[in-house]
Formats: sequence, structure tokens, C-alpha cells
Amino acid sequence: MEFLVQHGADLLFYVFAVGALAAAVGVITLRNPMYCAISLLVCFLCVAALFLLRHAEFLALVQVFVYGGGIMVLFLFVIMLVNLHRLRESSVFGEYAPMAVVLAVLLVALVLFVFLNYDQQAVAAAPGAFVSVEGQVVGNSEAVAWTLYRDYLLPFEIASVFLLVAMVGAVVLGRKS
Amino acid sequence: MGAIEPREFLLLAPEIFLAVAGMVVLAVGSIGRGLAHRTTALISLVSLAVVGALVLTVQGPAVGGEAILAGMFMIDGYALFWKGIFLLATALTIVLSMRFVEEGGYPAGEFYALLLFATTGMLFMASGFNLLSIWISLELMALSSYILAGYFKRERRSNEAALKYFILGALSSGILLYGISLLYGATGTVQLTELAARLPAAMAAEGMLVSLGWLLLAIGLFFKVAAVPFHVWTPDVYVGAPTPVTAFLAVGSKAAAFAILVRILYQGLAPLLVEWQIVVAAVAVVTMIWGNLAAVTQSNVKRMLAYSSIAHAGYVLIGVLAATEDGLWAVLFYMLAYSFITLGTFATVILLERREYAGETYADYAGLARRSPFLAAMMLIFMLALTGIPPTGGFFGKVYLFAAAVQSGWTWVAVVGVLMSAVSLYYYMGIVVYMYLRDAEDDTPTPLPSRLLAGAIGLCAVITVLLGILPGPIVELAKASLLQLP
Amino acid sequence: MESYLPILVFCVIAAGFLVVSLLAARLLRHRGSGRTSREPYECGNEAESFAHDHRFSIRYYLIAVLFVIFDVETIFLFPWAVMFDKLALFGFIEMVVFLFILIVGYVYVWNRGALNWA
Repeated sequence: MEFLVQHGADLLFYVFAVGALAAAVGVITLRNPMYCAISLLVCFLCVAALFLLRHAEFLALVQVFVYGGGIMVLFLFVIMLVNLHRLRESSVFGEYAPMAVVLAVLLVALVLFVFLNYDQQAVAAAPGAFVSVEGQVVGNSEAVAWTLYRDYLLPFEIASVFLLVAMVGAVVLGRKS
Repeated sequence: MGAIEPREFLLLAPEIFLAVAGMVVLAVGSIGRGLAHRTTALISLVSLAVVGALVLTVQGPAVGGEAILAGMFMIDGYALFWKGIFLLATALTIVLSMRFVEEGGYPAGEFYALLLFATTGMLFMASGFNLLSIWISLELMALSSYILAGYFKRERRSNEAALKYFILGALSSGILLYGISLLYGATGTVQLTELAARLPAAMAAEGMLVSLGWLLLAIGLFFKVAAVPFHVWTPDVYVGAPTPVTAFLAVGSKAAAFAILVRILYQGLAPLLVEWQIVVAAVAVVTMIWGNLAAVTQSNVKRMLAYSSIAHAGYVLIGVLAATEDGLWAVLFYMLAYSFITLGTFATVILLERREYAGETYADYAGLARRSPFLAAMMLIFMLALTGIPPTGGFFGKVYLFAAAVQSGWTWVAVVGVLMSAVSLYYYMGIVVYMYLRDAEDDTPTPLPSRLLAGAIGLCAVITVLLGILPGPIVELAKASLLQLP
Repeated sequence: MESYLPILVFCVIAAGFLVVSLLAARLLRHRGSGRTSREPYECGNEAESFAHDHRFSIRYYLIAVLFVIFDVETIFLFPWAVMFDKLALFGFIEMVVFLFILIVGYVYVWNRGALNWA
């Protein structure tokens, strides 16, 4: 029990990390698109939990809301709209397999390079900037709010015009005429 | 940051007004059916004029340079010059669009509203002084442009244009944002002056991170200005998009992308001058060579103009590369001249275009001198200007750019520019040969369907020639609109 | 971090409930013949074609996109609500402007009949 209390966060990290990886593998190997989508959802939720463990509460929430909610809905709609029969016959990467392998190797090399070269103590200390407001330690969401709604208030309002344009675009291009 | 003063918002009144005007146009356009074509176009034009007046009166006194909202935006002469270009380009685009949208039977309110929103984004871009505020403004412009490119949704080419533009545009935005995040990781700031101040130390500590960051940032920007090898989206998008939208992309979007490219390179990445000069030089040379050579092989006029716009991005990059006062005002002068020339060219193409995309090949220009001497003469002026032959604004634009490069020691790049201008003579004059020396199949005069459009073409031609005879006032204006140099 | 403990316990119980009920169902349920029970209509009517052989109305897609847009909007509301007292009136006005712009969009979408299912 003492071990659990002391290393609880680390244990949880491994649980969710393995969960995210397993789910990600499921996304690309499962043959039923619906299972893939559910697998992706599990992956998103595990990643959200990882964000929580890093005290990035706002990111965790975005992960659940936007990815687990919005993006998943888009995926499910697309799965519903496309013809599923064809999907089962195609292989995962088709003729692009060699390119995919090369890219995967490069990506792994890059991650390894970063992992081996960067000062992990320094990296661990840096997120402190995202949990403080005027010198006081608060939650991550509060820190995000403080920056977003004070320093970045105008870009924030531009973002709302951006969302408005997105709505107009969806209607203009998606409406039956 | 301290309390926000209301005055800081007042300084941004033009941008805020334009966003509101866009919403008004959207609302007016969605009441009633089909009646709103003229009304919405008129409201848009009037609000652009008001914004122009606001820029002069509200932001004019701050030309000396005033950072507002904790360095988020910057009001200075440089921003004002670009804003002038954007407003003129959008106003002319609206004039160009009126007949097109009306005949196509597509909703007008949304079209003009999207143009106004895109322009809002462009105005914010010109004043953006923080990588994130620049990025979100860029996205506002880009998203509006994607939709506009696909606006003629019954045309397959328009669908294709929108899809390609969206996918590659989103990719480039992602690259841009990745670069920004790496720079933030290395320096802890996205504000341009702070970034410049912290870069030397960050370069020493996290050299790889900084290099990768600014390279990705630059690649994202090269995508937006359509420089080779990041230009692949351009031809298909320019050909497929409704022609007024193509004009808007070739002038407005490109100018806005240059506005932020120059500001980021000169002010944010100033300590990396030597590094980015090499990259810009390489991209400029490749862009000029590829753009011009590919333009030679085209038979579709819109496609040729797409490659020509790529080539012109290469010329402008020469001025950016110089990183001197002469280079900077040459860029400003060139973009202004280029805007009028290109808008005039596309307006002429629009007049000749008929349904089903007929009227887009060189052959369709055969005998134009007889069918419509006015249009042929206008096209002649624009083609001379694009090549850079006096007495047009294009001539002085190129002379200033190349001279600036030579003075700052980039002679070989300028030489490539001159050589490639000679190549461009071939395809620009190709149209002239068709217009004046080939006979048309039928000699019936081409009517001028719209006096307004003809007037816009005339205006562009007059300005093009005026810039070629009396460049002085605009040069002085551009010289008064400089940035602090790296 | 301790404050998340109840949520973790909650998640574990939820997952346990799922596993237990699925297991129980597996043990208790009647094993029918595989093929018929997988048909769309188990009663015996044969389906004439697959659902995916038909084209779906673009409206579904439109609704999905609009949902995502409003979903993103709610994300902005969340941190604002957390800091509401500190951001005070200024933050309130800011959010009113933000919401107003989106309401303009909403009215537009409504007005254009994009939500009309008739």
C-alpha cells in the first residue's frame, strides 16, 4: 500500500501510456472501422489522462471535449457516410508501405534523439510557467484563462470570427442549392 | 501586463469595424433571396472606404510605430502601407466579382462577407506583432479563401481547387505552427521583439531547436507566398477557383503573406539574418527559374498567370533578401504595382471568360485587337508591365528590386532575375501575338458586358502606366513606411 | 493530484460494472443461431440492400461540422468560467462579444435553413 501511495502517479502513467499505445495499434490493425473508431476514442481518453498526470488540466479537457467529442463525431459520421465494403479489401498501407516504414524509422530516431539528448530535469521544471498567475500557483486552467482572456484577448475574439467563417463555410458548401 | 486602455482598442477601430461590416453583409445577404446582390456589394464597398478612412485618421497619427495590447499588435507606417494595398485589392475584387456572382446564381451575401472577413484577417496580419496573433489572423484569411475558392460548387474544378487548397493550406499552417512552437520552446516567447532579443542566447543553448523552428516557420510562409518548392497547390487552385477569387488570392493573399514574411524575418528573426538570407536566396532563385520555365509551357491563360504569380513571388523575395532600406521599399513599391497589374489582368480575363470556362486558352485571344481594341490595348499594357518593360510600373518595380540586391552584394541572384525576366517575355508576349497578329475565327466584336468592370480595368491600366512614368510619390510613400532593419 | 482520486475510483467502478454486466450477459443469455440474429431484421424480412449502397444526405455532414464548431466554442467557455471572479466585468464583456459573434453565426445558420430537416 505504501508503495502504491508513493508511486501511484508513476504507475498510473504506465497504465495509461500502455493503454494509449495499445489503442493506437488497434486503430490501424482492426478491420472493422467502427472498432477502429472506438479504439481511437480509448486512445484519446488515455492521452487525456496522461495530460492530467502532467497537471495540464486544460489540455486534458480539450482532449476530451474536442477530440473525444467533436472529432469522434466527425469520424463516426464519415464512417456512416462512406461505403464500408471496400475498406475491408484494401491493405493497411498498400503501395506506400516502404515509405511508411522509412518515415516510422525516422520518427523513432527523432524521438530517441530527443529522449537521450535533452536534460530531463530542465524539461520537468518548465511546465511551472503554465500553473501560475502573477506569481501565485494555481491550476492550469486558471493560468490558461489568465493568459487567454487578458494578454490574448484580441486573438481570442479573432478566433470567434474564425469560427463564424467556419460556420458560413459549412453552410455555403454543404447546403443543398 | 497592466490594465488595458480603451485607446488601444480605438487604435484597432478599422479592423473591428470591418469584422462588424462582414457580419452586417452576412445578415443582409441572408434575408430575402437574390435581391441582395447589388445591396451587399455596395455595403461592402462603402465599408471598405470607411475602413480606409479610419485607417488614415485613427492609425495615421501612429505611423511612428506604436505597440499595443502588450506588444500583440503594432501600428506603424509599414502596416499602413500594406493595409492600403489590401483595401484597394479587396475593393477591386468586389467590383470584379459582381457580374460573376450574379450570373453564377450563387448567394452574394456570403461571398462578399467572406471577402470582408478575409480582409479583416489581412489587416490584422499587417499589424501582427506576435507569432500567435499573426497565425490566427493568417488562419482567418486562409479559411475564408478556401471557402471562396470552392464557392462555385457546381463546377468540379472549383471543388478540386477548394479541396487542394484546404488540404495543403492546412498542412502549411500546421508546419508554421510547429515552427512557432519550437521557437517558443527554445526562447519562451512569441512576441517578435522579445524573440529577437532572446534568440542569440537560445541559439547557443538550443541550436538545433531554434534552427528547426525558424526553418519550419519559413517553410510555412513560403507555402503561403507560393514559392518553389512549396508552390504545388498554386496552379490547380488558381485555375479552378472562380476568376475574381483567383485575382484575390494572387494579389491579396500573396501580399498579406509577404507582409508577415518580411516582418517576421526582419523583426523576429533579425539575429539569424545570415542564416535566413541563404535560404531566401536559394528559394528566390529556384522560384524564379521554375515559375518562369513552367509558365512557358502553359496553354491556359489562368494557369500561365498562376506560374507567373509564382515567378513574381521570386522577384519580390530578391528584395526581401537584400535586407536593406532600398530592398524593403522596393518590395513595398513592387507589391503595390503588381497588385494593380494583376487585378487588371484578371479583370480582362473575366471579361473574356464565358460559361464552361471557355475563353481561357491563348487561342481564345486570337484577333482580340479587332474584336475589342480596348481590351486588347489594356491587356497589352498589363503584359508589358508583368514583363517589366517601360513605361509601366512593373519596369521600375523590377529595377528597384534588382538594384537593391546588387547593392547589398547579391548580384548573382539579381542576374538570375534579369535572365528570367527575359524568359517571361516569351509567354507574356505570346498573348500579345495572339491578340494582334492572329486572326479570330469569327470577327464579331466582343461586347463590354459591364461598364463598371471596364472602368476598373481602365483604372488599373492608368495606375500601371502612371507608376511607370511618375514612380516618385509612391516611392516616397514606401520610403516612409519602412521597418527597423535587421 | 489527490483530488482526482475519487474520479479514478469512479472510473474503476464504472469499468468494473461494464465487465461484470457483460460477463453476466454472456453467461445467462440464450445462444441463438448466429446468422439470423445478425440480420438487420431478425423477424425474417430480408433486407433488400445494404445501407451503404445509398447516398446519404449532406445534411448529416453539415450537422456534424456545426456540432464540432460549437463544441470548440464551449472549450473557450470553460477556462473563462473557472476564472470568472478574477477576470471580473472585463472578462464578462469579452465573453459576451465572443458569444455575440457566434450567435450571429447561429442566427445565420438558422436563417439559411441549414437546421431545417423538412
